[in-house]
Amino acid sequence: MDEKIGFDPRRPETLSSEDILFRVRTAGIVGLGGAAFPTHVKLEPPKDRKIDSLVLNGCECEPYLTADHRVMLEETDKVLGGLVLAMRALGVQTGIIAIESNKPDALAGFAEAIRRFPQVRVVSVKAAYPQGSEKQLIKTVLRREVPSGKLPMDIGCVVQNVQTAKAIHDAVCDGTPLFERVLTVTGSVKRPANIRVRIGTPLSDLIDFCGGLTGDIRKLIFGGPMMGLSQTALDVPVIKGTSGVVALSAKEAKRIPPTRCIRCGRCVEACAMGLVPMMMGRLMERGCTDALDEWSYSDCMECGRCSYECPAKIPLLHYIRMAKVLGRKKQTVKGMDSAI
Amino acid sequence: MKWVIESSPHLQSPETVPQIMVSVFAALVPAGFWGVFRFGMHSAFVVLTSIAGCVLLEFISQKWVFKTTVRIGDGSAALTGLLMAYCLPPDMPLWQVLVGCFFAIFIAKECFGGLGNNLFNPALIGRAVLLTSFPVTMTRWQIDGVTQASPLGIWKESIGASLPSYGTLFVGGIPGSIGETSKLLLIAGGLFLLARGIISWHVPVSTIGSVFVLSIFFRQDPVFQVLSGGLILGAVYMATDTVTGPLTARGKLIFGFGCGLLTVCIRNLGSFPEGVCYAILIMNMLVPLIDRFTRQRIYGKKT
Repeated sequence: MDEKIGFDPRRPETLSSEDILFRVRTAGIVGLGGAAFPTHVKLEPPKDRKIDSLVLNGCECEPYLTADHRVMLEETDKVLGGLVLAMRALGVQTGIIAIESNKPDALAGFAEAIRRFPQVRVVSVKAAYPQGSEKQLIKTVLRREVPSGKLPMDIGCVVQNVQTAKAIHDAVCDGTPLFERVLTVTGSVKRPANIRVRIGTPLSDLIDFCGGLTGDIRKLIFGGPMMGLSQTALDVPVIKGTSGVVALSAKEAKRIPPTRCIRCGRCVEACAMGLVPMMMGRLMERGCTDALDEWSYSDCMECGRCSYECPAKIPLLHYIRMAKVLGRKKQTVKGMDSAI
Repeated sequence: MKWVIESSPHLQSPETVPQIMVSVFAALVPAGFWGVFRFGMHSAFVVLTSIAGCVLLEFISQKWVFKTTVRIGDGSAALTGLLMAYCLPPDMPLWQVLVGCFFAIFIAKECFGGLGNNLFNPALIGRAVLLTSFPVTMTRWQIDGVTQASPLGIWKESIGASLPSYGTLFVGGIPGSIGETSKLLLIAGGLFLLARGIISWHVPVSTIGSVFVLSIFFRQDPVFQVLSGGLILGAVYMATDTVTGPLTARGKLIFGFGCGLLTVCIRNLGSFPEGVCYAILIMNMLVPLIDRFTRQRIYGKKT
């Protein structure tokens, strides 16, 4: 299981862009922040896209998760090495490492490590969910906005997660394919921990390793508490995009039944995309699906802050997801009509 | 083992609507005690009648008229009752208070679809109806059985009596509605709500600020204009009602400015000495329009 792909142990400095891309592709590297987008696609943008900056995302994607922080502390040089290799693959001159201000140890570690690389700089960003979201990070760090429906590469930048960078380093320098990752196991477990696990490890093994579940568990989540998926069984395997396992007790995961919207505007304030979640919630509650289009529900990135903040406990994000499904259905019907 | 499957997010903030209502209620209580202390026990009965009447009417309309879920536990009806009583004179006959409750809860709130759907602030509709229906009792201010002119009345009618000092106005040693006199306690309650994150500064600051500035244009004493009448009560507790106010910060500033502008216009150009109530009601009407023009820019979209 531990055998490595037979690469030449050549010095990475001498590698060409094609070499790096070949190794990243054959090692099966995907974005380890959670979305699991194939990394070699990100590193090989169409020729007409001019990329000028590579942002390394050192912001934890969700509350409760601390795996990226641990990797930044323990594998600083490998993460930095991966960043430099990715920069070489893309041919960009600027590398930016964005770390949340509540991780001073990681900030200090990278400030020390980047001395050899004048083209890389470290930026401290505000720790506020959803700072780890690609679009929000680009706006904070580069003051650019990804146009609606476009990709970061359309505005000249690429964002990579710190664990992805480490995987790039391992693939290129050691020829290691992506067969393991670091994830956080936390919540109501006996010994919460960040552990390095093989892809495919069953959930039950992770829980056993952490000493088992404690107390009255209501929900078991793959990913973080804001965007993760709740699970029904313990024999689910870890996949490449699994950033954490959170066991929530009955008290933490308690759902207060929804009441009426009082238009307090907390969802509007919370939305990082500038949407009006309460309006979409109201329209869905009343079945006014035709009026949904002008509220740009498709721009929602499903961070869940609106539902979290709502004092009336209205499942706003759930309504927006339903709106998206309805929208897709409508489009399919339209497409079929024109086909006939 | 059996776990719950639900869509994300899996956490909820601890704050709920009843908690918000209770906080606003608690912030208002000290000013009410001051009113009862100054104006006597009858004002306490006015307050209690108003609260009980509002809750009862909400119960009746939800249970038997509209046949929906009874939601009196959310505290919004009790808060409406308290707020309406605060802008009534201390010796208001109790049956008239109940008429106000009917218009506040049944007409202005439940007929519009209940909490969250009402266009107008229910407490202010109650007061507005009472003011037009019972103009005599609604403008009779007494302390210890002696009828006196309110500071704004003295100012409006240019009666010979001298205006009270700023200090008296601020502490509340003046005739007026039950809960509007003590600016000190009202502002203290407002700061508590601000600290709890229940109201934002935008509406009170822009309302009071615009009354201050615009009063100067009308050659009036701005400090007197701000500290007299129901301005503080209205700006801090009624214009900040989330249901009948705008959603965004920019909208709130516009809304507050409108309230201030209309208050100053009614006070100086109209026949009433006080205009906060009508100013807020008129601005309530404009909220859908304000919301439409102050929408946030969506990330990644051109305006």
